[in-house]
Amino acid sequence: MNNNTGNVEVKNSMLFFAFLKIGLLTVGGGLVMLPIITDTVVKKKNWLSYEDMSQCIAIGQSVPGVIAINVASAVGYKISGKKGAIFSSLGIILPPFIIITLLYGILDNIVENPFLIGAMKGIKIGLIGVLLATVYRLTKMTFSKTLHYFIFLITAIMVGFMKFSALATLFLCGFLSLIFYSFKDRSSKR
Amino acid sequence: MNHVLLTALLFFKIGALSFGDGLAMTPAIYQNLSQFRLITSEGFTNMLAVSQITPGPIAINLATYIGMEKGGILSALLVTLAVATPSMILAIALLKMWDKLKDNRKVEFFLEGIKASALGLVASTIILMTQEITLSYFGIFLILATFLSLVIFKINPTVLLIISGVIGSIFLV
Repeated sequence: MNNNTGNVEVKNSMLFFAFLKIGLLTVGGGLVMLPIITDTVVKKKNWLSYEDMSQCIAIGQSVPGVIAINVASAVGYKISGKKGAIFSSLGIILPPFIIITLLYGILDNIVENPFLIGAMKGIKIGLIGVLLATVYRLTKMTFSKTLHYFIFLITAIMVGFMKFSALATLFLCGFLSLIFYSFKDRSSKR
Repeated sequence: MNHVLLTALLFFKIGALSFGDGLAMTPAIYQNLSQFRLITSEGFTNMLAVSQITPGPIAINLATYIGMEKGGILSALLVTLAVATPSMILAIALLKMWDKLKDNRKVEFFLEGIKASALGLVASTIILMTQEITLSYFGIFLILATFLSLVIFKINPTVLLIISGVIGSIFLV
């Protein structure tokens, strides 16, 4: 884990700008910003490990609120404490805030612009591919047991196709894993 | 009570209580605000359309937009921070608790399941996104192309998204 204490100032502003970019490119919000966060924070800057990142993703979905802000706060906090969380969250908030306050009044007309609608459609489709790549990469880096893949699959099916509550599914899988390992623990002790 | 303050309080409550992605939060926002006649269904539909084509989390877009409508830029700032603050506090609190408890064996087993499931939830988001847009062969091609560009050629995702946007504004109009 990175707990660098030097250059905290630089790091906070770096966090801010990294998340500003993510806030600008996230259309639709929520988990779709994960690919760019993971790419920036784990691959490019080496601020967090894949393991830490999947912890932040889990936290983002286990607490109420805006998922994008949840993940940004967790990532920011892990990298440089409370200030890090604040700067990361501000980075996510600022682009939509500025765009909407500046364009307020003419926004209703912009909504009708076919080129902008086309561009947003394109970004959404591109995001699906980018998101797939991120899930692929994260599962490859953090999954080591069959149980992980099993939990992954039943979650995707239960929530994606059968519309189960995400939170309930998350906790169900937590208990599933607890029961599975407790059994294994006991049988290996005998 | 002052309209702006009431709006901010309602957004704070929504931020502290509602789970799920932006689209799961929008019904809560509508119900809470219309209950106090702070919004009409027609106005809300417009805002939602705006939120979906502007970048950023939908809840943040809606908060800024409604704040602007209620009293200009400062109100927008207040309402936006109101919806974001619970997220920050709760995420940090859980992270601290997680790091403290993870040495306990039972908790560790539980959290391992949660982590794997969280990635499954991301996969379910992908499933929901593909259901939301009508996918043509061209769309499927674009998805595959971005996936492979990232996995094999390691192209920067930001660059890929910008290219997708340009392609969209030309071919998906």
